[in-house]
Amino acid sequence: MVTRSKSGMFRNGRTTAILLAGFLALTAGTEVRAAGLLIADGGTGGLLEIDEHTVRVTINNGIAVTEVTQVFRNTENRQVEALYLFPVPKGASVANFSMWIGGKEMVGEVVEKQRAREIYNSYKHVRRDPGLLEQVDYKNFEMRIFPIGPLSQQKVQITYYQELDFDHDWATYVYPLATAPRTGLRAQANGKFGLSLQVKSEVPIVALESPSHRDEFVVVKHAQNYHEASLETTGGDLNRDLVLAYHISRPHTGIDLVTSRSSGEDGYFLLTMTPGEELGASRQGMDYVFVLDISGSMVNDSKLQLSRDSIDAFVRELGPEDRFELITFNVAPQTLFRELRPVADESKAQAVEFLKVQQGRGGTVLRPAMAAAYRYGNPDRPLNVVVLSDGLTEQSERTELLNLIQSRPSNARVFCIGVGNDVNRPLLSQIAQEAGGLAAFLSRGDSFERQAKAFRRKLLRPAANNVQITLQGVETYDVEPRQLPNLYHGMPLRMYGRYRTGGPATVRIQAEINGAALDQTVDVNLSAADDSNPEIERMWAWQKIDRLLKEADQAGSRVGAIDEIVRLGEGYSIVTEYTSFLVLENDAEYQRWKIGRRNLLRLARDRKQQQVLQTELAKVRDRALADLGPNSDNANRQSEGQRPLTTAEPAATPQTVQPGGLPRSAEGRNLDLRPGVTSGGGGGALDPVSGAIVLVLAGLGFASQRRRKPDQGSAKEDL
Amino acid sequence: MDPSSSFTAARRLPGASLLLVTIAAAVSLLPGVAECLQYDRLAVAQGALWRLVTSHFVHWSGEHLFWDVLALGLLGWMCERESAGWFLACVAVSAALIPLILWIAEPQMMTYRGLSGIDSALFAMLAVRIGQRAVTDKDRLRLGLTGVVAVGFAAKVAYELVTGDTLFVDSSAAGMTPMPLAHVVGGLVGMGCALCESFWSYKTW
Repeated sequence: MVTRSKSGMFRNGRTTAILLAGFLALTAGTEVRAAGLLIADGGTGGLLEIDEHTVRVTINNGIAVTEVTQVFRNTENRQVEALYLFPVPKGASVANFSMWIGGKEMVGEVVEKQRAREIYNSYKHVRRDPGLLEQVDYKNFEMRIFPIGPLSQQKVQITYYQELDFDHDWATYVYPLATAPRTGLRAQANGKFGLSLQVKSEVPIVALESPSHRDEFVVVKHAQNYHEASLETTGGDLNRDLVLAYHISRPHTGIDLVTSRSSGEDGYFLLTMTPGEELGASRQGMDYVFVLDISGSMVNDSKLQLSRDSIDAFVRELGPEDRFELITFNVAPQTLFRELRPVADESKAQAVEFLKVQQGRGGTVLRPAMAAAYRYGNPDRPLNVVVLSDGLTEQSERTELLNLIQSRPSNARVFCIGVGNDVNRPLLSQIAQEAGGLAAFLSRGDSFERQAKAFRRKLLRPAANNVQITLQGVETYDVEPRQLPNLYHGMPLRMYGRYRTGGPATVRIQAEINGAALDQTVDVNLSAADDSNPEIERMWAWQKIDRLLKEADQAGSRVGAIDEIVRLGEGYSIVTEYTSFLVLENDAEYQRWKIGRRNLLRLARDRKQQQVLQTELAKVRDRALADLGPNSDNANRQSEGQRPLTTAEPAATPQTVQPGGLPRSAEGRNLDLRPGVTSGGGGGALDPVSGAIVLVLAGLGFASQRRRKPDQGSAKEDL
Repeated sequence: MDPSSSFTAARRLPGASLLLVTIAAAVSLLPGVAECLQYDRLAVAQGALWRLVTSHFVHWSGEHLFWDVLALGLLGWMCERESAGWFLACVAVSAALIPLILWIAEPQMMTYRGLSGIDSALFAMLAVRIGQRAVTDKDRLRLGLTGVVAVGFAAKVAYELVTGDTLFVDSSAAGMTPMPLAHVVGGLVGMGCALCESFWSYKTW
């Protein structure tokens, strides 16, 4: 059977022709885009219906594995070619893409891009059905599916890994249902939609909640290290991003170590350093200039409204010792006060009124607004320039903008708030990073108040500069990133790397806090064999690819980096600008092209480990429910445990299931980041009890000597 | 030994102990000095041998300093008033031996600070002395109390040695890694000094 396609590229009969182009990138570290969309792209076109949309998220020590399964239905009585659009975030590593054809799952392999294209084209000529997934821009990937028969279904599944950003011990996961990969289209389930999220953490979980769908989610706390959230609806209104946030309890600064090592191979580690509450807050007044993008692109996705709400929340967090100014810009900047005003009711009200009348229109030219903001610099007060924008500026302006960032006043920092889901994350991140600040990203379903509070706390507490972390005692290499960023209060710092052999090691942390040196060491153990965290292997490879690309771009040529990027992409199944996913019909075809089934093996390993994790989590659930029953004291608590809105009380007490009941993977150690305190090495631990023992012994010694003196006196008389 | 000289010695100020306490306290007031004086395995390997001894006189935190100095003050006072010579010998041997043993036995330990090893040496020396004296005096109560205190201290150190964790304090929160081996070495040095002192006194007598 030969079927016509609009593009004429595919004339496959029996099953499927897949052209996948594209891939995506950019979003916030706290965001996960996953609204897959299938568009009938042949004939009269039209949107195919989504019969089923299931998302299963497993978060294991801050790394999220998202598995999206969608079943699309062709409602028309004709064969159609469909275009599959699927955005996933920058920083997410696509682990697999599968399609079910005739009930059989087809798994792809990552191949060098040009070669993959040649193989694909060769099949195209003989009308067979390979699939190809390519990264074509920073934002989306696309895949053509052909044919979808009249009134038939097509099932697809994508799995990707992503590390979640933590902010003040809150990790946020966003599933952006509101994001349309193409303007004017919307991914919305007509049938069943379900999202289940399981969070496992070595650091105890305090709360799990959904700021966006507070009433729809059921949250259950099975154990202090294992929470679960679930949402299921049929044809419901799902036009808002799904946002889930969980809070872990790390009151003290600490490091956590996660390893992965197969026998006979070098291991991988992920070291996370999280600053705690012991950093004292500064009472020094600060100046804030909020730079708000009011260009036309900010009208989409309610970005402007989101920005207004965010600024309002940020200004409310400022203290009376602070001053602020508002600048709006599209092609030209406009200021509110023309000076820095103290934070007072009157100035806040003026700001609210000023924001209300702003309308999105025109282009985005950020440079003049930044230059205007820098003029508010005062040598005696820190200046924080807070840019709220989608970062969709003219390409030609970006170099100028980055140069301008370098010439900022000495005490100025630039913080970028990426607003909405369609954000130029690389640009905003680069601006913030090069200006000594931070980039944060807000989704429509997020909590402005929490983000604003966290942002304010970061600014009030001292950051650690010149951070250096080294592992001593084991041979490590390929550590990413090579240059660690500044450490801000409430934001963890992550370091990936490889190690030769397992064993005890010492982590040495050196930094500078408020001019005082910090030098601490803690002992850790790198596992000789650990297969419970295969996800960090991909995350390490992705980090290395990202660095290679950045370095190559800075050097002005990618030629020298491409081979290594291809090697990593193929080895770790990562789609990049130089590698693509290629799906062939069967194993024989892979053998014919001498394509190793590395992804198939890796996928099998990942799925096996996911199964192990699921089994362990099921045991935790079973234990938590063991006491449930008519006569159980826990019965009432369990019924409370099913309530929506907030984290439920545990069905079993936290003590019922110890952290050790979960897969051991992370090793946590506390540190002390108080300015001027350098600690963490070896030392004797004399404590109050030891002091009391010493006191008693000293008392005995004193009594002994006093008793001796009369004896000695009498002895003298005897002599 | 002239008892009168012993009695006089017992009344005099424990000058050496006070000096050591003062040094430890003074160093803590000088910012940046601790980093130059602490046991730093890499620096020692590069020839900064003085760190082996000076590491005892720097601390990780105010609390760490307080308990170590308090113990040194009390134990040093008791030991020094008995015999300044043996007190200094105990301090010198433990100060030298503890870092050396740690160097050999704890290659992963990059840094070390604190007087607690020397404190443990003085504790053991004093406990042995009191015990010996209680035996001589046939004072069972004092002997029993000394035994309880000594066993309690030893049990604490043993717990730390076996579990790698501290018993009464959160060492992580205190910002240090417990190093009970230093206490073990110190304790053995103190016991050795006390026994040598007895043997020496017996021979000379």
